Amino acid sequence: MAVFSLWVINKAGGLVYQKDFPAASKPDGLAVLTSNEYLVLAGTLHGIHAITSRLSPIGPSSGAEVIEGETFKMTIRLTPTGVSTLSFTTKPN
Amino acid sequence: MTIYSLYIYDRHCACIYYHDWHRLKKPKPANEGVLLPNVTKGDVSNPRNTLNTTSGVVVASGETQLPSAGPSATAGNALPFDEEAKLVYGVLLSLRNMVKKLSGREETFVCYRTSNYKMQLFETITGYKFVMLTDPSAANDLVRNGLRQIYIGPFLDHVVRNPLITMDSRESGIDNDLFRAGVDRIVRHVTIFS
Repeated sequence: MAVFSLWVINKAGGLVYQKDFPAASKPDGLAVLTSNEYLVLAGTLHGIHAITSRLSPIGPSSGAEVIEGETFKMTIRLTPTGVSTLSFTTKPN
Repeated sequence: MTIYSLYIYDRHCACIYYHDWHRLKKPKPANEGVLLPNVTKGDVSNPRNTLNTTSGVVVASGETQLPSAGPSATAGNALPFDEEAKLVYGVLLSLRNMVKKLSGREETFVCYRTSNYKMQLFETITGYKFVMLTDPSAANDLVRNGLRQIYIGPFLDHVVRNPLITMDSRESGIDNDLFRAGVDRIVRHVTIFS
């Protein structure tokens, strides 16, 4: 399992840290976007994380912890202080 | 593997079908006049509903009888059904665009998981989105296959090929008895074989 990228988002939803790791094999990896686009995406994710905890069909739930596409997955960890850490990895099969 | 609920959205971003099974926290009734008719049924005498029957039930806007809500009805933060359907769609659309943007390729969003539930998406080329909420341990392949079976079977037979239902209308959902029974049959089949 390879890690593509690591983001840290603060309590207000702003992206405060980002590090990309170059993909080992050619077809994998994330697109390179401008820093503004990363800021917007991080803010959107922060909002989605909050909404997903409200949509639970069975009582209180955490926000989204894993979001999967076809070739990569995103893991979100929320600390008790409100800072979230995201990591983008390949999907182990 | 427990399946909680199924939403179907069309390309006009409207919820055209809703079906739930083991949902504990029922939504409040939809606000009047907002929900399209023929999306879901009132579930007052539903034999599957073994939980508290005096809690809020999902009511389409055409229904006039609302059961008198008991004292246990709706915790303060239960959302009305139409708002909840819109939120589900919003989350879905945002995540789909985000996944496409981040990967740079034509990548589709598949699912997300929280501590309590997992939401899976199956989208057709015609723009119909089948969204299913299950328990977190559900295998992706099984649920995706189940959604595909719903599309290939009941959806094509009882909705697309049904002359009484106008698809892509902005005024009506696609609820009918045959479709509902077909969906129920497939979902129970999926849950047994897991």
